Amino acid sequence: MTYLLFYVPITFVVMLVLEACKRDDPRQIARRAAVNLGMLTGVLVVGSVLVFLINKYL
Amino acid sequence: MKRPLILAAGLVVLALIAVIDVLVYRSGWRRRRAMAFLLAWVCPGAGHALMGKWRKGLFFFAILVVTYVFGLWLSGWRTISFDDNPFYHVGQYGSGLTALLGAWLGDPKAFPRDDLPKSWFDPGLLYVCVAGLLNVVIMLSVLDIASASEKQAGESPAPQAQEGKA
Repeated sequence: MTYLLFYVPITFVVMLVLEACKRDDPRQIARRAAVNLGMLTGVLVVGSVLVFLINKYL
Repeated sequence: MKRPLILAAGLVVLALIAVIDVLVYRSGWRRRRAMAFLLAWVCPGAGHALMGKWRKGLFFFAILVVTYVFGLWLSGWRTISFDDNPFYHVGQYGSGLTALLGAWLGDPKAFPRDDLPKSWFDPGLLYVCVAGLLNVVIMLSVLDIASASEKQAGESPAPQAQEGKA
């Protein structure tokens, strides 16, 4: 399971690069990248919980 | 096996692109845009530097190098050979630097490090691949910046048509 830890840095790097392509202000880039990382993580967590529940109870 | 052959082929392709670029794009902005695009492929961030965005270029270079080196460290300083994972292997070609190192270090086949958990090997390959793929995004961003600069400079996208009207 430890390899799941590598998800956070690589996703943050991807978000940083995508935001840096759009914006110039470093603070805004970091903030938007963090928000997007949080959003994506949230969606993935909710999705995986749903899949887990469906597999367990349906 | 054919490391010198791969490197020579890469250099020939680069030289050909540069020659075609000079022959085809005679307009200043178009040539600059094409050169920035080519440079962005050769070295991450170099295209932005050429377009005058030094800080952004350095940021892209630093972030991609850190990602790439971390991936290499995880995967035992071996890049991805075609046998390891064809998709990850192709991803390396997103930047000239990673493609060059891929050709140099990718043969023999990568193997997990003994001092790290075996499950960390695959994320290492992923980091190496993502560094190459992100450079493709950066290259497209260079084109965007070049188009914006061209518009700002007031040069028409079709200078020959303007010359004809005049």
